[in-house]
Amino acid sequence: MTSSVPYDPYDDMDNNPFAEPVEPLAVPETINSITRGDQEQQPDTERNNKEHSSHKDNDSESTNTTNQQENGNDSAVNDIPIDELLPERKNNKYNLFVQVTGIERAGSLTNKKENPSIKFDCTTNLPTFRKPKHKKLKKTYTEFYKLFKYLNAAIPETFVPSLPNSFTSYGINNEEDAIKTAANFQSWFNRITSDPLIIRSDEVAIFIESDFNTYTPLKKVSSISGLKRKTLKQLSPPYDETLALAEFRPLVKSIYHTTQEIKAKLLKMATVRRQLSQEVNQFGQAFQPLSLDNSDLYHKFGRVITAIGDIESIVANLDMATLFDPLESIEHDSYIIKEALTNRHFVMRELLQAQQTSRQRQENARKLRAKRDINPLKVDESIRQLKESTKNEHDLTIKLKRITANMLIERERWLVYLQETLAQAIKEFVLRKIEYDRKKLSLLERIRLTVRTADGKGGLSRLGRSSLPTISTLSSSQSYSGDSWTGDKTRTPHLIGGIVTTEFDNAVFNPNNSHGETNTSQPQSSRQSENIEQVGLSARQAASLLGDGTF
Amino acid sequence: MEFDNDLGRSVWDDNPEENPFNELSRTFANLGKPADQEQPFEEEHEPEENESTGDGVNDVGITDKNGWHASSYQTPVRSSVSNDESPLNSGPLSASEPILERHTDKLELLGSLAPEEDPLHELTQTATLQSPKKSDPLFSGLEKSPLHIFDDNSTGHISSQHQPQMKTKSGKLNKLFSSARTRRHPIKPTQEKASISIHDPLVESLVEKEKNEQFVEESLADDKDEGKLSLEREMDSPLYLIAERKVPSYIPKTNSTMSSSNTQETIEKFQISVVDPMKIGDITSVYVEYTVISKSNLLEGKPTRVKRRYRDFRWLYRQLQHNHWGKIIPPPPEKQAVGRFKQDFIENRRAQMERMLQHIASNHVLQKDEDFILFLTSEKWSQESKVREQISGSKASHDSNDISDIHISELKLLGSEDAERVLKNGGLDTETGGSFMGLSFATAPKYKEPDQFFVDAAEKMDILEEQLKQLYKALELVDSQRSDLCSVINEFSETLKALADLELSNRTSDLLQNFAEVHLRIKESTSRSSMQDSLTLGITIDDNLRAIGSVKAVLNQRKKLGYYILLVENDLNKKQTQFNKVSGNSANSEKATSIENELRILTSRCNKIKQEWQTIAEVIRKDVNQHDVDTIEDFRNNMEIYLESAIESQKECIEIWETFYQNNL
Repeated sequence: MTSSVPYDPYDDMDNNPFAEPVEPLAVPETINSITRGDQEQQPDTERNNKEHSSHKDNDSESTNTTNQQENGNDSAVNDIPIDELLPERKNNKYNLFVQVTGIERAGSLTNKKENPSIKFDCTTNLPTFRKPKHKKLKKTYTEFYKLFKYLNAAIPETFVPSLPNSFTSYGINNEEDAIKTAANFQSWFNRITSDPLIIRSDEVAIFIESDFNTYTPLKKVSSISGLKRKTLKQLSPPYDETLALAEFRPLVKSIYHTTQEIKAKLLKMATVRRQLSQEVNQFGQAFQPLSLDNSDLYHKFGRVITAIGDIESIVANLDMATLFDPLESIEHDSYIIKEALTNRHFVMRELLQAQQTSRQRQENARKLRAKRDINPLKVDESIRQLKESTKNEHDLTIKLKRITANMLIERERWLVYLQETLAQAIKEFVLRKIEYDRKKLSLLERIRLTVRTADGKGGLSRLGRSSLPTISTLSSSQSYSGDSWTGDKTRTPHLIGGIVTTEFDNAVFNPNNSHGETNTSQPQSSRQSENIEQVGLSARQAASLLGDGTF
Repeated sequence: MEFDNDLGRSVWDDNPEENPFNELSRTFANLGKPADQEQPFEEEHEPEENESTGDGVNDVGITDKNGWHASSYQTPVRSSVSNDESPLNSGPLSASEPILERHTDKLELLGSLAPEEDPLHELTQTATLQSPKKSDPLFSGLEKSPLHIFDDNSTGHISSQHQPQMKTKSGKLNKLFSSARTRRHPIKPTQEKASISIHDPLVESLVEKEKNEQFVEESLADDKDEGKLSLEREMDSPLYLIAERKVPSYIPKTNSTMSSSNTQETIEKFQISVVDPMKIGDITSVYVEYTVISKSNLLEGKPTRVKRRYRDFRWLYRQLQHNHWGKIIPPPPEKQAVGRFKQDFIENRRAQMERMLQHIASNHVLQKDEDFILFLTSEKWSQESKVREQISGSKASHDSNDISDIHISELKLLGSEDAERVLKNGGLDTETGGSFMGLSFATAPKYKEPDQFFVDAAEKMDILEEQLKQLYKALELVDSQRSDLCSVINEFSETLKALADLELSNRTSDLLQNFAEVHLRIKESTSRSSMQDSLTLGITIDDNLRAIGSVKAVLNQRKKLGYYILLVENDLNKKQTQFNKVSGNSANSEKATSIENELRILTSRCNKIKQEWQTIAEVIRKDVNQHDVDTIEDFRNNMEIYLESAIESQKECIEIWETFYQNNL
């Protein structure tokens, strides 16, 4: 009982002013080692853990057992080993595998865009499921959303991963979009299935086993929302012992706001870039009819510039797709985490209140005991109330401990996930940028020779030389042996095939093609380049493959 | 700057104009020519009266007097310059030299002056003072003034000397008095190329800044350039170095055009810069004044510094148009009523005017135009320009906004006598084709251009103008969009840095910081290349647009002449019929003779105009072709520069991204 142990404030605080916050590298064994950063506690608690685990019923979901710690040094709250608090995490017996097979868009335009159907297969050994294997499942996005909302409210201990967007920045007519959305859902499923608390939920089983487009959560869970939530949020947060979580919320909040800003700027950048591409297109168009002399130099030049403008607009789209979408998912995630942490605060407040009421009732009981005249009704009443309030308080305490414990674990995981996502997004972004910059460069270089030879003397670049530069020197500066302008010869462009002769060349340099060709090639471009990426090998890659394969 | 010398002279000399006067008058007074002293002063007051500047065919006496006066305006300025250069004791002597050169038949007279000193003087001078010898003819006006008597006496000789000289030297119609011609020691025809170095402090400082901001990991293409000569390197450098992206590319262009076309004519080197715009005036009449600094052998080799405003540049343009019919004059910047004092506008205008002057100076015909020289050197601008305008009848100050609007001066066309007659009647237009003749012409006759070349040229110019306008607009839009993009990238980078500050982990923070950095670098590269594009291609297109206006002006000149021909021919025919009527009637012999006179006048007028019309055709033809070639070459060069710079900036961007990728991902 929490009230029977005297409250010793000095034990709780870490008096050492020079203590560095220790970042736990692995999932901690007990809560103690996290909150205190106290190394010496660990061997004790580990020993305790081993003792207690032997007594445990590992499959029970209930967390009502409260084993007192023999170790009197521990703080009042964090005395339950994590295995008891979160038995779901203890064993990895139950798992759920989901494989997304595709996305389907059908129906009206809004339906197509905002409510696609996700097709997937599922395998599991959870007892909540009726069948271990489910194939060719199809669920709509709205069903997913309902499940998500339920899970968010029903499982306060965990951070439910945010649902991916129903469409990407590629636009739903693009093949790339289907692939990307499917991939997003796959990763969402992966995150879901890696969270033991979520997979054990009944609703997940109901969701998967329900028929197409018929799912609604059976249980109703409500969390504090609306005006009450807003007013409660205005108050300063209750005292939080777990430092990590106490600092976590402001961090998440600033992540949320910063990513929103970045998204806004990125969007602005993309729109300006699109406008720029329009202008460049027009500039190229204005070049074409020039009648200064009778050569078609200007015509070709204008075409190249128009093609450059087109590339620019593709780049704008890709910018959005590669960076904006991941940022959006991070933003949603951080919002959910922020609200989950707020919910934890609410629980803490409730706990405080419960503690208060139970203290009050205790006082009442004591007063009654001290009184001379004994009214059996009143005594019964007060004893009953006291029992009730202490039970309530106990429940809340356990609940809070559970939440705290899980959140600490989740926090670690999420931070790692966040950084990986960021790195991945930036990597995608940069790779695309490089690819298209190289394409621009090769386009420009193709017309270099034409421009130079237009002038009988070989152009400005030739001045002073006795002979015209040969064609070989004017070939593309990007090649298998590395870029010609840099000393780092080992850096080969990743997509040689798709770069030196781009898909734009046909439209630009073949005079018979109409201008419309370039437009149609746009949505194909990224797909094509991916194909080429898979098909084309640089000499180096081929050599390494050969070398590896001989053993 | 060495220009300070000029200031010093005019500042420290109390009366720079008077000194040579007094010295000379004293010297010649000794010769017993008392009238000398009065003459110079009288001469100075006469300029206003003269109005006609016909070509050499007509009135010889007036011509020379005019010519004489013309030079006298130019010279007061320069005499101060020249005087201080030569030691005092040789002042009068150096003055005497040009006199000798001019009036060769006065050698005996002047021989008595100081003949033995002259040769000696020259000998001593060669070692120390080169410049006075060459430039003396220009600045001898004042010193000559006491001796104008010689002028009067020898006008016949001189003019006859002038005419053949002028005729042979150049096919121009109206060079009365090019002082450059009458030299005792003819200038050796040099094959100097007119290279124009551009001392533009503003652009240079910009380049400096760009150099400092240059991305360091770049420009390995330099290795190839080492083997070349320095001149070639200079020409090549704009293409391969990132920092040097500015107008020096002009140098190869002018060099190539000059060297290819001018092996016979001499082109003096000119260094001209227009700097230092300053707002002058009170609230009601504010304007901007620029300082024109020029240096050339034609200007005595010393840099001159004058203050000019935009209006003066336009005056020069009109004057040159008037002086050289058919020649395409490099155009001035456009007029603008509002927004005249914005920094960008002033800078743009300044650059355009500088280019205009440099182009004029690089043209072998135009650089020797005396109005041009006057413009570059005159200190008493308002006075002298008005006089010049009067003399030439060019109406240069009546400058309409459209530079293709031209005015054919009757003075120049018809000669002073005839022009007087015409002007009394209100001009060629009204005299002949106007309503007051009544019956024959209700409307003015339409001039149909017989030569297809000009019709084609006009059409071509119109089409080209349209296209270039579109192109220019498009380029401007691209430029402004790019600058928008740059500012947005800036903001984006800032927010990235904010995310990095949250310090999720070292690795992530580094990644985000570097990512933000990369964006900033890209932004700089973008803005740099955008600026360069507008400086090269933008300027070329703009110049070409305005030059088209000049070409149109030239075509208009021809049209107008043709129109005049029609008018005068009609008039002639009418007079002819009149004469025939009257001559049949033997009673009015007086009237007949008067009509016959008029007929003669009209015939000669008609012939004159016809001749002009034909000459102008030749000039236009040649000039338009040359202009075409120049334009095309210039344009192509700039396209190449644009392309090369685009390639370079692309490479730079790729480099930046690749490096980031390698280091962080």
